[in-house]
Amino acid sequence: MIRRPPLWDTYLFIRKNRFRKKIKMYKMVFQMFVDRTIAIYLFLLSGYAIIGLFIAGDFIRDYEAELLFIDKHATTFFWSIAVLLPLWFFVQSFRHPGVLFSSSEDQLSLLPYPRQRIWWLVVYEKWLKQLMIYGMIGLFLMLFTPFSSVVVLQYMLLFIVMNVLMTIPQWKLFHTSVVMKIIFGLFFAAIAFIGLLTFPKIAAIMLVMGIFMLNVRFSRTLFHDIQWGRVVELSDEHIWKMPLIDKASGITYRRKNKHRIFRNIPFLKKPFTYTTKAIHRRLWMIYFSKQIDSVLKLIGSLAGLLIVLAFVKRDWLMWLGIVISVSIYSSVIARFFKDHFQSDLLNVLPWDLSSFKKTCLQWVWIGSIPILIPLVTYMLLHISFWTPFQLLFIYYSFLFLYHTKIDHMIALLNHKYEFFQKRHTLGLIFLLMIFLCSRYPFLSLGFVFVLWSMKKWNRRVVLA
Amino acid sequence: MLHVQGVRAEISNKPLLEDITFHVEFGMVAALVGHNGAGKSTLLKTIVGVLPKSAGKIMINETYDQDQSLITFKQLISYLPEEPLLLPELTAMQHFQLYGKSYQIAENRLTERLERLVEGFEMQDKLNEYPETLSKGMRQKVQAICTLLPDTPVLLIDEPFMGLDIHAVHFLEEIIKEKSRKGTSILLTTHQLDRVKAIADSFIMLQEGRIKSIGPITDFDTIQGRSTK
Repeated sequence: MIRRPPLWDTYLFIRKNRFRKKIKMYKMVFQMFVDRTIAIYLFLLSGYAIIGLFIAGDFIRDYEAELLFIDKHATTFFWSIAVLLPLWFFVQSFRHPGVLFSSSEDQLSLLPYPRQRIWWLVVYEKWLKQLMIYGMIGLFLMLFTPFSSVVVLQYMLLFIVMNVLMTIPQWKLFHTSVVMKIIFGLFFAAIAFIGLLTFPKIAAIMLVMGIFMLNVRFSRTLFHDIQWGRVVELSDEHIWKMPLIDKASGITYRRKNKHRIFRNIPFLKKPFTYTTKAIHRRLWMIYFSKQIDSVLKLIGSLAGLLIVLAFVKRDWLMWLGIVISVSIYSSVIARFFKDHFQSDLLNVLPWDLSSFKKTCLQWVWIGSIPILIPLVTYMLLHISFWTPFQLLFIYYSFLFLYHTKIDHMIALLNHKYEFFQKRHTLGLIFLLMIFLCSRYPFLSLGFVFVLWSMKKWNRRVVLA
Repeated sequence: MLHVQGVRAEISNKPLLEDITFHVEFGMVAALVGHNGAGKSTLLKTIVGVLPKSAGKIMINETYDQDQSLITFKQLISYLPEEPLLLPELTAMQHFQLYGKSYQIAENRLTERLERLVEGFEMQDKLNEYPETLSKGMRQKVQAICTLLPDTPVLLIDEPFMGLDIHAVHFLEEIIKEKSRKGTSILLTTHQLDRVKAIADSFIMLQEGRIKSIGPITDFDTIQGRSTK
């Protein structure tokens, strides 16, 4: 007779090993960053932190009145918070199932252990963890703050009960269509809203009863129509995405099929209109959606830079910001352009690079909107006779730099190591002229020269 | 015709390929054979330009040099990788269209070719599926159709029969023979030696990144027997 270890033992074995692996990884990072000197400083710092805890007692005493005020209102608004809390889980269900069923649990289910039992074990573990976390927070608040124990216990109980009650609805809602999620969300939001305006206590009790009924209803089909692959992917990401490790190793954890949302749109499943433009446009969309983190960081930082500089009283700083934005945006786009052809399928396909360049530009304009908003607003707030020329100058200079840098990348992709020295130098001159426009606005008439330069190098000017 | 002369490739000063020289004539099928890690897939990737070479020359029809213009060179090669390189965001049909446009195949010709290949690989009801919803064999078929769509002078195939059902294997063999009759130079890697003998005209045996032996397929058994002894 084959004896197999109880599920609990195997489950615990996996948990222990996962924990050990994480500790090992953090240890490696720690050893990488912390030498003996830093360790001594850290030791001193922790000493200060411990002393700080005692000082915190005084600090909390200083703010006793405010804390008592919060305590009083926490009692008053208890039912309102109870009404609003489930909505948080409805929102969460759009992107997370709430139960971490990772590839380890998935593998475990391939052994002779029922998937359902493993799932319940994960859920019990989750509840236990929450009980401990809320317990510790509650204990801290009761010991070190003037909050009344009753209020703390009330809230602890509320959070724990809601977490338990919402586990199954969140799990099931995660697997329903977006429309169903919205319908459920709106229904509960309406009850919450009415409840807040009328009788929060009654509304909260009604909501809890409703959620309880949902639990009963969903329990019958708990494991029907479940996208296990998606759950595993998200859970793996949740467990193994460790920013500190990513930073140290330089390798970012990426989910394989991150942008599934696009694939569920029926229109995107249809065959292409058989044109290069349509196909390339989609390829860029796929590429940029994969690079969305970097794209958002780039656009956000440049837009942020211009917004901040727009409020600085020295005009030249704003113009310097514009120069930096034009230069960085065109450079990073050129890097993206090259990268696109060095991975995946495109690496082995023949490239119609001029067409790719044109279709890429359409996405470049879309991406530039958040950067253009502060720029154009600034220009309009400082409007003068020269403003249209200045805008034209910035626009054509960007186009010139875009074409120059992309052509450079095309040459590199074609194993031709030309540097485009003249065009790069000219690009730098245009950037310098943009900067000088703050003082000598007539320089903006230089856009005619930019246009001429583009024609000279036979580049098509795209008047988007 | 594919001409490979003194090709060397390396990663971090570790040689992957050393002094590889051979050519595949018009309409000939050459089989790259060798143990795992001998450098077969690396050689194909170097010919396509996915892996850079550190020395040597790769030419097509004695005119198109990989070093002169990789972009033009790529137009002349169709490559079937061992692992399908499909984009998870595109359906099978969209992949075919992408290949069609990349190799500048006119729409009506694409439709004609697709009809035959899709039917041959029994993929009619999978055209609007995403790769992740397809089985491994089906994904392999999608990649095979993509690669067989264009009429390039050179066709590179890495482990073509792996993961395919017997019907698909026969159909693929038929297409390879047909392409070779039309004058395409074909270089393929495989571990299925019985199939090699059925479709190849010559063989190139690799060992640790070097050519160990080369010759007509009729000599293959003799050479193989000698090497196993």
